[in-house]
Amino acid sequence: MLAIFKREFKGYFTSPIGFIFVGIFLFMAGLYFYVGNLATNSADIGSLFRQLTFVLMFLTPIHTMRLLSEERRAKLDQLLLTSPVSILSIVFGKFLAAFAVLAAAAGVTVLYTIIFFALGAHPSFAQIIGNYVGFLLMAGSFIAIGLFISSLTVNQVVAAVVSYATFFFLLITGWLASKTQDPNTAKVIEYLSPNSHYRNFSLGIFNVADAVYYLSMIALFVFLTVRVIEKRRWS
Amino acid sequence: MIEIKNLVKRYGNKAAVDNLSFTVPKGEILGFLGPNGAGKTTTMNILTGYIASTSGTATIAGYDILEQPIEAKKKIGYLPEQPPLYMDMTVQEYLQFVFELKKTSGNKRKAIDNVLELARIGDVKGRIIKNLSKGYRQRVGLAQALIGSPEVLVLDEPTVGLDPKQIIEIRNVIKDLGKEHTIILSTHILPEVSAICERVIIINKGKIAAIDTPDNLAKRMSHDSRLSVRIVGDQQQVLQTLRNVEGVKHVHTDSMKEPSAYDYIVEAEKDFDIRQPLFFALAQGGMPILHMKNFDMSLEDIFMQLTADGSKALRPEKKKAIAQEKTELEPTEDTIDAEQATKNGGEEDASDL
Ligand SMILES: Nc1ncnc2c1ncn2[C@@H]1O[C@H](COP(=O)(O)OP(=O)(O)OP(=O)(O)O)[C@@H](O)[C@H]1O
Ligand SMILES: [Mg+2]
Repeated sequence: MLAIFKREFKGYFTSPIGFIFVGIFLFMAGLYFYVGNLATNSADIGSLFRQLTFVLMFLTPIHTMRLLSEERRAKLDQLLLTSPVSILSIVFGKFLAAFAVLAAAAGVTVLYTIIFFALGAHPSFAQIIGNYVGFLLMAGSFIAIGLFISSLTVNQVVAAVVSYATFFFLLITGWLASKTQDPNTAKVIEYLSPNSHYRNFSLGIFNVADAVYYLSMIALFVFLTVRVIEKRRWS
Repeated sequence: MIEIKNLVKRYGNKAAVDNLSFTVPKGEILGFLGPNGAGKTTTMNILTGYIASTSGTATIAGYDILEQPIEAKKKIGYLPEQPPLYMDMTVQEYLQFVFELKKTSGNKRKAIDNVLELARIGDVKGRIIKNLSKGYRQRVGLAQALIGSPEVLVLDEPTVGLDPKQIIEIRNVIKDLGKEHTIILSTHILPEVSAICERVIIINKGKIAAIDTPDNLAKRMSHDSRLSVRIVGDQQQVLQTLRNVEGVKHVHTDSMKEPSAYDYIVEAEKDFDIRQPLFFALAQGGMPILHMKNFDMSLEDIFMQLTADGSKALRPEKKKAIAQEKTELEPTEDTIDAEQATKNGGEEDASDL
């Protein structure tokens, strides 16, 4: 698993994808930080991260589209699947690599919180930690979904487009819930919305149920990815 | 070392591998021979655990590939049809990755230097794989399979894309490896099999057509003594004369090799030496013999006979296969002989395996 993680992580930075991803992410983060915080004298780190979750939705498909599709197209899966490693460790190694790239990008934004303090603003620690934890959990669940979608096709572009469609649906689940008449259905849809689980984190409130939501999304899609690969061997 | 039992792989209702069984003892080099689409790659993919069989088992060093995949895979080095290379890595980085991926024990540098040497790619170890020529990529693929010196090597057309000098080099490497490793290799190139393999399996349409040593295969197919004779004279007259010689079972025209002289393939009844009667009969008719020789069956012929099933649909493929081998043998228009041999000899031989 370590070998796959290392190879995948390095792979991000030997192709333009990694730089594009991290570059756009940091550019958007800087822009939001400047416009939303510095220029308007606001120390609300929650609003910054709420914006970043949207950036995440638009960038993750590019980030994950080639994870499994490209390898299968180039028949590289033949090397991985005939090596003495389990499919789970292949899939999880890739997940971790994509996650690490994202976490590294997010890590750069720690600078912004330092700037907050340097400028004399004092956002609460709970809120800072809450936002980072929530953001990383959300990123993890998005990456798991993107990874799963890339296991379904050999075409990177198809993987990206389907991921966009999926994330768009997840984005509008909150709105869908508010338009649903039946309160129980609305509750279910609301529960599925990644944004609804972010709200507490963004305020610095830790709710186990929210963390469980993201973690089970990760587990579910990693599991489904393993199943897809396993299934294909039998077809 | 390798045991394959009743292996079946179905795609839809078409069987790519159809009830294949064979074993490979430790230290043997086994050649896997067959026309396009015979099921060679499919068998190898199952053996190495890339795909699962529909039914049947594949066992490596006592480990079932489906039941104990990790243990079984540790014993195997696999060079697939298309070498699995990360184009953005250097040769050395790639081999390091494979070393770690395969959880190889021992000294990493030594292991890598060793395979660089074996595959003769030491001089390109710092190059990005994307920039290598096809032949070098193939060799990097081979190096990858050799990492950690696995007991079993599965090589799918290992010499494809190499120039003639490299082919000989790599064949020698494989032969050397065969002293300590158990090797299965697939190929279209028949001389390759006679050059390096101790045993050959000829498969066609997912079934075993023959399994034997290259020498034995040639021997047992040549029991019906056939002559190749070049004769000057009117074709009809020559054919007439030949057919009247006692002991001649079958005659057909092969091709015109010289002006006014044709080559004829003359098949004799068993235990008849027809050479002298043939000479006198032709001399009497004033039809000079330019040369006469035993029609030696090469592996090519055996291959054609065993895999011919008489259907016209197979013909273009067969011709392509022959052209590929670049042999001097020209495709015979008359395949009846081949068909009969398959019916009389080939299938019997195959079924008693
Ligand atoms: N994924 C697949 N789906 C459907 N049919 C397949 C698949 N893979 C292989 N086949 C079929 O199985 C048969 C055997 O293919 P295989 O690749 O094993 O042949 P081969 O002996 O390796 O041929 P070649 O000499 O061309 O490499 C072919 O008829 C092929 O069309
Ligand atoms: Mg093949």
